[in-house]
Amino acid sequence: MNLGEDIARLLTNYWRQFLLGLAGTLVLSIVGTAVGLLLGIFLALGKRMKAKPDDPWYAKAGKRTLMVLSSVYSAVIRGTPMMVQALLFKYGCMAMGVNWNNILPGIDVFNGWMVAGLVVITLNTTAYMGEVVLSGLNGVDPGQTEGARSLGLTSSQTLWSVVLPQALRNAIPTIGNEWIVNIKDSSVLNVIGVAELYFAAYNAANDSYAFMASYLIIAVIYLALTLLSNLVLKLLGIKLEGKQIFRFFHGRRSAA
Amino acid sequence: MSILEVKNLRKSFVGEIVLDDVSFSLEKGECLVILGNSGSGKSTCLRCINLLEHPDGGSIYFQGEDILARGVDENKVRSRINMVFQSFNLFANMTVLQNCMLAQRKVLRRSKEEAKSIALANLAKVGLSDKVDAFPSSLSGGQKQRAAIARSLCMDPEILLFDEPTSALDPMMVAEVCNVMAKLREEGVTMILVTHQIDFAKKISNKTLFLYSGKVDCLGPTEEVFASPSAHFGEFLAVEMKA
Repeated sequence: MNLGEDIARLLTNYWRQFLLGLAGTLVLSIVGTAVGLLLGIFLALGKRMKAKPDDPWYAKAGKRTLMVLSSVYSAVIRGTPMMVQALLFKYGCMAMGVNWNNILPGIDVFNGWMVAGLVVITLNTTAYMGEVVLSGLNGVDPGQTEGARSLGLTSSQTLWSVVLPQALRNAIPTIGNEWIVNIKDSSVLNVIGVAELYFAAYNAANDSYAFMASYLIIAVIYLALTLLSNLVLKLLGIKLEGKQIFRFFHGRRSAA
Repeated sequence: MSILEVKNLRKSFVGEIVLDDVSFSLEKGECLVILGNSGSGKSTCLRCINLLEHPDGGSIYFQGEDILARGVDENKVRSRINMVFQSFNLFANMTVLQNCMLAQRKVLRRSKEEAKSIALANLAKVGLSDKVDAFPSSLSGGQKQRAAIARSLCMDPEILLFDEPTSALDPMMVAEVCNVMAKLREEGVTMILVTHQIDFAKKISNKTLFLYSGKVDCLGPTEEVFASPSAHFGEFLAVEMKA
């Protein structure tokens, strides 16, 4: 049988599955990246926690605990594959009597396993985003903090109004990268039955025996998705660059 | 009562003594200039007054209150003793106007309209009315420093601290920033200035403090200090004037 015919046959008979898979992949990557970024900000703040010498003992203990917990979370999640995390999550939930399939059974793609997949990809992305935000925060000129503090702003006002916006803006390329990684890596979530693009291709292939054609189709879709995402990110970068705010550090002399 | 009284200030960084028993006082409306070689502790002294550094010993009285005491609201003190930095430290993510409004809104809790009108008035004062919507990255060094001065003026500070405000600027821009400072002096703004612009310092200040390796070497009315310089100060002046 010829490949062209196979592809045509698959697209005619299974287009709906592929489209649903595409929707699943998009939801996983977009929600995982967005919520992961939000949680990653808090993870980064946790990792940066530092006790001040004049803090009372309970504040010191609390800050240290948060710092240690955040660091451990980050190390464990980044040190294990997402596929393994997904399986541990699934069987962990089952052991506790939670079966995601019963929580939201069967409606096409968006069933209980999709919700479980969203939880896994979000928790996974959080760990990486924590690092992204942390390096973004460290990259902001300390003079920005001094400028804000010298006017009487508190440390949290300084963080949210001055430092964090700049850290996030500088981190946009890396955040975009995480999104692209998520588009591709969400495919491992098929191991717990999340109906994303790879899952759709796998089923179509086993149903039609057109293996090569099936995977070729999703390879093209993945490529199109990532190229498109790159384009969007580039446009976003150009838009920000147009405001000239990236050029702030030109012509600066070192501080005394 | 002096508006600011610094007594026996001591500060060291990893064993190196930077400020050693520094004392001076400042009356309302005065302009004190702090001179000294690089590393003599001038900037550290300013940073201690703004509480960006915590001294190891001594005391600082601001309007009679010891601002180094436990339980003092540091942010409140900082909002009344403002600092202008060598490297401007304008918020890169905000326009000039937003830079001037942020602390007014967050610290002084002024309404948006009030903060805006105060910001515009101060930006007009430093000659930046046409740059209110510009981002710092598109300003020249002199414009950045004038914007930073306006940002501080918006807080109605009791004392303005200038930490080498013109050291990062070329001569043309030094002049525009010096003009703004001279104008503030005429208006009676209380200020402390750390600078290497000796001529300007002599012109603008009524009091001079010369630090020599962390110690007060000369302190007094500017004219007297310059008229009969100590050995170290004479040496310093000779080198600075040549440069």
